Amino acid sequence: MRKLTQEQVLLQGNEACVKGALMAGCRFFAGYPITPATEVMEIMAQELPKAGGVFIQMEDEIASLGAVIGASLAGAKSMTATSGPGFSLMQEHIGFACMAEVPCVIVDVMRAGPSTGLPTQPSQADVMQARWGTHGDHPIIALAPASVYEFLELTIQAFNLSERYRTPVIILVDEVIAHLREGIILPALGDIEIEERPQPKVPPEWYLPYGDPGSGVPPMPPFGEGYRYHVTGLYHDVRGYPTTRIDEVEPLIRRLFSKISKDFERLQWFDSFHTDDATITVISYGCVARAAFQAVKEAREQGLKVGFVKLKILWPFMRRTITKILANSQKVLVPEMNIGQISREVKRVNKGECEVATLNKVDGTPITPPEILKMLEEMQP
Amino acid sequence: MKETAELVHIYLRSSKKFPHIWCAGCGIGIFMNALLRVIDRIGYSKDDVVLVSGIGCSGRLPVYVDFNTLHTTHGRALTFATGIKLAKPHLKVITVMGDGDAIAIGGNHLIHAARRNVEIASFVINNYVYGMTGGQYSPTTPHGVKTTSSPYGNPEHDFDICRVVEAAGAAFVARSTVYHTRLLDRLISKALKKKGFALVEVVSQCPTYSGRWLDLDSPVEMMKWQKENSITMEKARRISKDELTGKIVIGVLADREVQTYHERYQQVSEKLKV
Amino acid sequence: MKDTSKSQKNSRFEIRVAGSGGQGIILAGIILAEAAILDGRHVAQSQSYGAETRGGNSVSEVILSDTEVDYPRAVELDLLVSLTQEACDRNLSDVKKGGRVIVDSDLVHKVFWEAVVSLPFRQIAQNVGEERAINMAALGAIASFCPYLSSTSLTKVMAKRLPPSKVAVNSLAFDEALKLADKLKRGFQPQENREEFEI
Repeated sequence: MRKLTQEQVLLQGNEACVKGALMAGCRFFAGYPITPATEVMEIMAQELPKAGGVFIQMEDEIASLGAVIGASLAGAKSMTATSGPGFSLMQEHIGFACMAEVPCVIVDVMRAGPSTGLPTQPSQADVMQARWGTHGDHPIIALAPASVYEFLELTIQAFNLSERYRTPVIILVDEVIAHLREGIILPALGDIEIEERPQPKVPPEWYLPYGDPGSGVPPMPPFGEGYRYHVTGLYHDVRGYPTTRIDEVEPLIRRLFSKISKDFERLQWFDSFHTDDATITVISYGCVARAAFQAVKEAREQGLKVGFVKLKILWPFMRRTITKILANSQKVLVPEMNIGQISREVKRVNKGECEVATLNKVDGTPITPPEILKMLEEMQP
Repeated sequence: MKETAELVHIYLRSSKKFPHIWCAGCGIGIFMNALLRVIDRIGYSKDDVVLVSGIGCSGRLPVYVDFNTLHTTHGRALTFATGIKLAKPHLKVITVMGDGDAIAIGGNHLIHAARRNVEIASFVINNYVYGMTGGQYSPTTPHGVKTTSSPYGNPEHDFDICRVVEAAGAAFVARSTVYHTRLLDRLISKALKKKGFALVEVVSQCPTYSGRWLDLDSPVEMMKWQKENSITMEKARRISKDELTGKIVIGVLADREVQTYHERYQQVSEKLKV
Repeated sequence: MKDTSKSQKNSRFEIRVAGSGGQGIILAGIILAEAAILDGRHVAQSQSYGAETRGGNSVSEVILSDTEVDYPRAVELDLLVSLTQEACDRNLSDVKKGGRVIVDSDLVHKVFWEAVVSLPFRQIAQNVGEERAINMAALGAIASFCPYLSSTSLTKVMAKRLPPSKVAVNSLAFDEALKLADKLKRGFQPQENREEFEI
């Protein structure tokens, strides 16, 4: 074995998440204990008072996200962390944050469900809940880390996206990555780009809290600094006041979508390996991507023409990227620790280009490299 | 004291299209008037006041007033208020909720906000009914009363908002009706100045729905009913339990010094920084 | 840049420590992983356990590699350490052919495996006067049988991760087990090596 020279630190996934959040400027955390996300809360409880931030344990997950949104309106970068049952409770306020355009980050450490499910076993079954869990039409951004380092990196990015687009950002991580410890090299603070929510450049009397400045994202001053405006979960006009006027309702919902969709080109975050000449491509995310990468390398060594794609953004679904891959490949395999959620999206964007196979495991144990390799061997033409 | 007309110009939003959504004779407007009067008297800067509401008729109050205003989800106003206060402790955070809002769907949040003792001045406008959705019974609707969701009489028993909150540990608990405007002003003022979680239950009238089951035809009669059925805290202590049945006990129920969440947190935080 | 395109078939070493809750299995895994980092390895450590805080099955895994670890969990174990009979029975089938199995000689009696190293970890811990040092005793044996970990790094991490008042006794248990394991290992070495050592 060869030796690594740079200095690594051993961090658990949930620990790396906190490090990333603090680097991104997170100064408020509200949460409720739930396995396997509790470590995020516990470490926040330790670190935030030292960093001049605020930690609070609330009475449930609804309250947690409520407090997070409140703190964000007061100007603090805020987050919470939970798992399936708590994520279900948070759906109400995810909708509020979408509608009122309040930046916040929600970590969902996916465990097997539905209901109480398997509290300490991994799963990837909240992918569709992240997309459609709250009622009504709304865009959402969800990221999926596949390593301890990526959990740190994507937590920073979650804050950046959240601030940039004034939208809740969900980190869909599985129990494997959340509890995994890996040696990682911490990024230097100076190397990280940190984004802040846009601020108004006009005096308060000219300020329109929900007007479109062109980017689709209205500037957002914190409460208490002279810009007295109204925030509501009702459909509202450019001043934030409730409205039912058809010429105000539809433009609002369309702006909520377009502020993110106009940037789809920027939101294609993925890693790939040997996709150019692959006849079969594996599309994966989270801990399954780790197994898939190993399986694809072993298959290549056997001479099989297989490729690998790891999705780092799950929502908005990377249609452009996937379409390109589908055009190059004859077959696609989507291994997932659910009954088939991202594979539905792959099938949706696949206009008969290639055959989509799935490998679904829902017994509470991760998909292994031999399982994927076996499937790849069987799929050979 | 400033004239109401003057207060209107200072505190109501000129950019907001009126009229408001409340029915003629509703008590929420009386409360709003009292709140603005007291805020003006104390002299808070409008920039420092954050008014947070839940859902229901009372939930619409913040939109009309020129503060930092937040109309949240049903029952959750206190959770948002908690986040705001802790993130920016110098702000004066006020919540306005209704009875269904604060103690049915938001009951858990109310209990824990009182227990946690984050400095929030909260006002529950209790009109004994879900008004906005069409007159269903709420946790404060008396037993046996017919409403749109209890056509054969309310099968449940009501509960006492103030006593629940007092038991949960709130620093300040009081009750008034919208009829007793001078008392209401005093209690609002005390609640706003209190270091810690303060709650004032404001007994109000819903002329559209709750008047029906009380056989009171007009807002005026409902306010007379408030006048005649109210009894001060001091008097209530002297009379028997039976004599208290059906009475509205008004005045200060609890006023105590409790360290707030933020004070405690600040202490810990300062120590850790050293 | 290292060549990450190759599979890790020949550059991966998988260790699993298994026992019951309360034996310090997870801490053992964390110390292993941190020591491996000091030794310049890429490392992934994971654990699984039941809902019980005490008792129940507890498993900790450490994957060592010279490139970034791909699949972070064990597929074929190079080394299994079992501190209870049940843990041994449950995990034995995951050991690869030619892999090494280390067990506590008092707590594990039946092991159907060729190369079993049976050492009295519990006894060692009791002898040093700290029953809970059983996990650090097990680390001593791992230090001996895992070619990619140094005992120097392990003791360094132990000193950092353990409460200061417990470092000395735990180090004693570690050293004792390491010594016994080294002695046993020589028994497994080819003949010429042993002679060389005896000179």
